[in-house]
Parts: sequence; C-alpha cells; structure tokens
Amino acid sequence: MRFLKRFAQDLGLGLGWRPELAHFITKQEDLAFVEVIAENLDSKGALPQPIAELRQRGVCVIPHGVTLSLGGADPISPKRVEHLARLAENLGAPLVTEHIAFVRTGGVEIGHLTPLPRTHEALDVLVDNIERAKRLLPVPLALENIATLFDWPDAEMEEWQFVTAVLERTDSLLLLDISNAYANGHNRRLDALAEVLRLPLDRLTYAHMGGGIEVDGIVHDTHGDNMLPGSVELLRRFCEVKTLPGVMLERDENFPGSAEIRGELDRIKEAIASKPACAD
Amino acid sequence: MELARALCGTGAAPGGFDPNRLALAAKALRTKRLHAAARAWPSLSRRLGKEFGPQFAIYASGTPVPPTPRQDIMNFARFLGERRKLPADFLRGAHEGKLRARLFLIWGRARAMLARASGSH
Repeated sequence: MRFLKRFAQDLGLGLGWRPELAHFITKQEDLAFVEVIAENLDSKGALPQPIAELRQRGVCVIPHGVTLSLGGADPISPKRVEHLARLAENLGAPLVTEHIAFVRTGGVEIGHLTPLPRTHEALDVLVDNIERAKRLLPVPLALENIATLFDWPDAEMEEWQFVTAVLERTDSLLLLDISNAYANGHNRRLDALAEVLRLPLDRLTYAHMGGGIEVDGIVHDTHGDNMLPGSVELLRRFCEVKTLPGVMLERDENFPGSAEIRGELDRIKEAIASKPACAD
Repeated sequence: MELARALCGTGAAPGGFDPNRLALAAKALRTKRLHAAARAWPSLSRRLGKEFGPQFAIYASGTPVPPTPRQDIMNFARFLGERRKLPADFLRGAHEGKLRARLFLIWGRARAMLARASGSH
C-alpha cells in the first residue's frame, strides 16, 4: 500500500558539511546533499566559496539549526529564526531542520541539546514555539529526535508518542536520527526498530547516521567516532521494511583521513541497499 | 534551573533523575565544550598538548559556556595569559602580528603622503 509522502524530494546520500571535510566533499561523486550548521554561516553575506561551488554542482544544501531551543520555556528568538529563513533562501534549500530539545534556560546556555520532559505541558510549550517559528520560515521545517543519556522523571508518554504528537500538531516533517534512536533504545532497553516504526514515517525527509561509542554498557552519541555496528544494523533493518528518501553521515570532531570517512559512507550505502519487498 | 545547574556541574542532581546518568551527561558536556573550543583554535590546542585538557577544565569549571566556541577559546587564552601559562612563542607571535599590522598601517600612510607630496609639484 502506497501512502502519500509529505515531502516529495528524494535526497539520496549526504554528509554533514564541516570545514575539515570541505576538501573531501568536493572530491566525492555520489554525495547528493550536504547539511550545514546554520549558526556557522553568515546569512547576510555571500555563501562561503565551497558551499557556493556545491550549489553550482547541483548539490542540495540544507541548513541545520542547533540553537533555536524549540523546547525551551524561554520564548524563541525571532532573530535566530530569521537567520535560518534567510539561509534557506540563500541556499535554495527545500527545508530547514532543528531539534526536539532545548539548549538554554533562564538565558543561561547549557551548551548541548538537552531532552525535554515527555509531558503534555512540555509538549504545549514546544508546539507553541514551533508554530511561532514556522510563521517566519519560507520552507517546511523538519524536526530531529535527539540522543540522551538520561530521562526526566514522571514521563507521561514514550518518546515515539511525544515525537508523533509534536509532528502532527504542528504539521512538521521528520528528520530521523537513526543513531540517536539506536542509542536511546539501547540505553532504555527498548526495541529501537519497533519504536522508530511507530513514528509517522509519511513525514520522513531524511535520516542522520552518526558515530558513537559504548562504555560500561551505555551508548554515547559522540559524532567523533565511527558508527557503532548496532546503529548500522538498525539502519539496515529499517531499510528492509521502509523507504528512506535520504541519509547522511554526521562527523563533528576527531576527523579521520579520507579513506576512513569514505569507508563510513560506504557502510551506509551497503546498509541502505536493502530495499522493502514491496512499495510502502 | 536545577537540571541546567546539575549538567553544568554547579548543582546536585534534582529529585527523580538518575544521578549516575546525569553525571555522565555532565561529563559529555564538558568533553563537547573542550573539543569545540579546540577546533576553534587548533594551533593553540596542539601547542599546549597534554596540558590543554587539564588547563581548560580549570578554566571551564569557573565560567559558564559562552555562545560560541570561538569566544570560549579566546577567553581561555586570556585565562592562560593571566596565569602566565600561555606559551611564550604564542604571546610573541600575537605581539609580532600586532606590530606587523601597525607597521603596515604607518608605512601605508607614509607612502600615501609621499605620493601626494610628489604629485603636488
């Protein structure tokens, strides 16, 4: 049974653009899209040359925000949203992306994506902020699930329910971080694939894959290591049953040589070669 | 807010949270801050070598994370300078850079004056 996808573009294989990877990226022939950290670009000036060249080559460039703090009780900053909006226009991006998380509270920076309490009250705050943001955005917004090492007490719902509710109430799209889903599933002792399959996948735009480590039985989403085997296995099993329009690798630090990064991309390509037995 | 303080290391785990997991998250935050700052000034982190981590930890424990890693590493450099722990050649390089820039400015103005003076004959 074919359902109507809400985001019609097939993105293909991608990589998180980082200055340390700029040269590597220009030499790859199979990268259909890159994602840029919105806060690292000047939305009022010209695009950095490497990005402009990628655009000329027809590579799709998607701005990825990390500091909007959509889940925070502090009202979101219109300036930050406008920055994201201008970037989307300058890049000709088909969407912008951000996170289901908060990064500051009472004006104090936490410095990292922090999970929200999975309560109806927190959901209302998140929905309100997203609706404010969407009024200022010229393109659709996709929201990403984050990895977390801890949960708030007194959760009123599971993560998949919280994510589903926010996507449906705000009519937003989904950026599915499969490595984050793997980490959270492992650390909460839940079946990660089952959790992911409960999400509204008709809203899926593309997936993230990122590296991590396992220490004392706990998975850490570091983005500074190679992808854990369990994470790649989750990607493979997902692709056996569902269509994935795009998938990209995230590497933020501890950059290896070209051959090793290429190897990571090839691991993704191999995993997504599994196709659903019939169109879904 | 209590959770933010616990994550930044200035408060205890709030009630109901797993203190071990929060401690892990706080450590991950410190590591992320260190790595982001190092990336913002790679030559400084290379120059400090093994000392970078411990010195940055001392600096970071006393200050909240600023909006950008670049501000963080600049504040760290100032912190080191104040404690006379900034490598001498880094300090010298920084001074030479400023001196060089100042000389260029003076030279440029002198050239412009000479050009105007010779042009007026």
